[in-house]
Amino acid sequence: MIQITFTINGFTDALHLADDHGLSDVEIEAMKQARYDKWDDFVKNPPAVVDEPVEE
Amino acid sequence: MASRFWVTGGTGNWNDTSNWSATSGGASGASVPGSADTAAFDASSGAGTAMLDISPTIQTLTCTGFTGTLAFGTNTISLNSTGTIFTGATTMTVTGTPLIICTNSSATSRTITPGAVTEANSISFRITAGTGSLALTAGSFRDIDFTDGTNPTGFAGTVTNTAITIYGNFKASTGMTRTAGASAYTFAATSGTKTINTAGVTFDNPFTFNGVGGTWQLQAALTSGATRTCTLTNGTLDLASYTLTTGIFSSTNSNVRTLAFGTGKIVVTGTNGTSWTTATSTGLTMTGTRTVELTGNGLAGETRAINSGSTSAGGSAANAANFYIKAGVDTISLGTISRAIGTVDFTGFSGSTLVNTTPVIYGDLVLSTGMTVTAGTGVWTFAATTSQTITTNGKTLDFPVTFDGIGGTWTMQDALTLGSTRTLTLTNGTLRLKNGTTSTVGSFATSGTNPKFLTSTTFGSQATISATTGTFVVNYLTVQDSIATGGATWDALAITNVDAGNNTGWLFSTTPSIGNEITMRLRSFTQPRRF
Repeated sequence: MIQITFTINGFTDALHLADDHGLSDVEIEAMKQARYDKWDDFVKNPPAVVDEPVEE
Repeated sequence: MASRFWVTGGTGNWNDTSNWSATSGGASGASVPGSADTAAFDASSGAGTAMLDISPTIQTLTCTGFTGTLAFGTNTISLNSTGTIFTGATTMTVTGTPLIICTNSSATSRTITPGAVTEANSISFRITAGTGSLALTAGSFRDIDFTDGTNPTGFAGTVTNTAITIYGNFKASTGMTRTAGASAYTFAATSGTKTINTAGVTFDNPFTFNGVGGTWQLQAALTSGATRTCTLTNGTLDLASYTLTTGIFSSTNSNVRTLAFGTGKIVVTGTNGTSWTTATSTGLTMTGTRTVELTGNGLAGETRAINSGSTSAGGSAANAANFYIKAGVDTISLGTISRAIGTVDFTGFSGSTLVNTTPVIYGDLVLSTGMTVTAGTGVWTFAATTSQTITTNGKTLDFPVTFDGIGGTWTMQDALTLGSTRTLTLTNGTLRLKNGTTSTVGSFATSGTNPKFLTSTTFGSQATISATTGTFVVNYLTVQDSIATGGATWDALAITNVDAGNNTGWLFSTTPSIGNEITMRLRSFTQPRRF
């Protein structure tokens, strides 16, 4: 596994990729941005809380 | 599909027909369970040890009632079926490196029921495939790995909302989801450093870290929802460099515990309630950035409480977090008892502070232009023993303000304005008023017998302090580059005060100012005298 730590707008996360991932730099940058966008949207637009029943 | 039951009474190898029966407690000699079979250990299996001399693949494994030992060594068990694929038992013992690999790749649901086993008898699970739902029923796990072991992908289904205890590492796969819910993941290791890699998956459930001697280190961001609580009860939570997002953060007890920020930060998204509590900070250590961002869009009429460590319950400069309130039009409470806080920065916040809040601030203070600083009688104390800054952005601090930190220096970034009835008290440290501006106070006082200093932010350039009425008798105060004005009497006549120069409006006694002091030197007795 390759770990790529990145920071976008103060949000720090990491991608973990297979050693032979074969991704281009552009694709990796897109993955970073997608991670940030997902987090940013979740924080700014938190989903309505509809808890699933707890499974025993 | 055949069912196989472990029947040896003593120690035996998995790959040995003399240990397997077609019925519980039945005659041995049945075939070793294969990939189309189920295996069961039960009360009739005896209290012996089943040794994994191979890494078998079977459909399901049931251990209900088993009182013996499952000795993994370095081998693994693969379960390729669906439904309830594993049932553990609190009565059994496991040894070696226990790992069960769940390989079914269908969309059919699976259930793993490990039971509430101890840390020592917990088993690691790797779920390498599948797109269906996965129920990790209430119980204890060692490692949980949702990848195929090589790639960041693997399980691509949904983990249901259940509360589980994890004694080992936690590794999500990039394609999985976890149903939102209030059932917590509790990390409970009592030794070593365990890693948590969420792989970008949002785990909208509470997290609890509770293991005496345990350490958990993030290997990626950890994100949970705005209504979820992240609780540190025991052990060390190490953010490394990553962002931990939670609705509420709680660590209020007297246990030995460490919140290691590294270069990371905690983002608190909750609104209308306690956003942060380390109210009882006894035993709490914080290291690293200590950066906490409050990003929740609190609404008017709502209140967010930052209950940092009470100074009477372990709260101190050493475990005070830095808070950045970045959004909201609600009310922020910094506590109505003395609570130790690092930096408080309201940039981006447009609400108000709670009346009579009484923070003890060890860091910087930044007020925002759009906020309301509510008047009250609660004292805001600046207690740093290092250099800090204060930015008021034109806001009036209509409450008493005290500067009390030996060695502390507070450098105003703009004029400091207190309410017309409020006292600025300088007990310890150096207050550097912004040069070229007029700071206004209701009254001015010094306290105690330690030396304290009132200066300007720029040497040689005066800063003005103004009050309309009253006589302010100060002691043990060194004043420099200061204009005292406004109608009040600024009485520095006591000989404990020092006129350090470039002052106007202060009443000093006739003792020499620093500028008139005579430089004294001891004559050297080691160098030859010249005549």
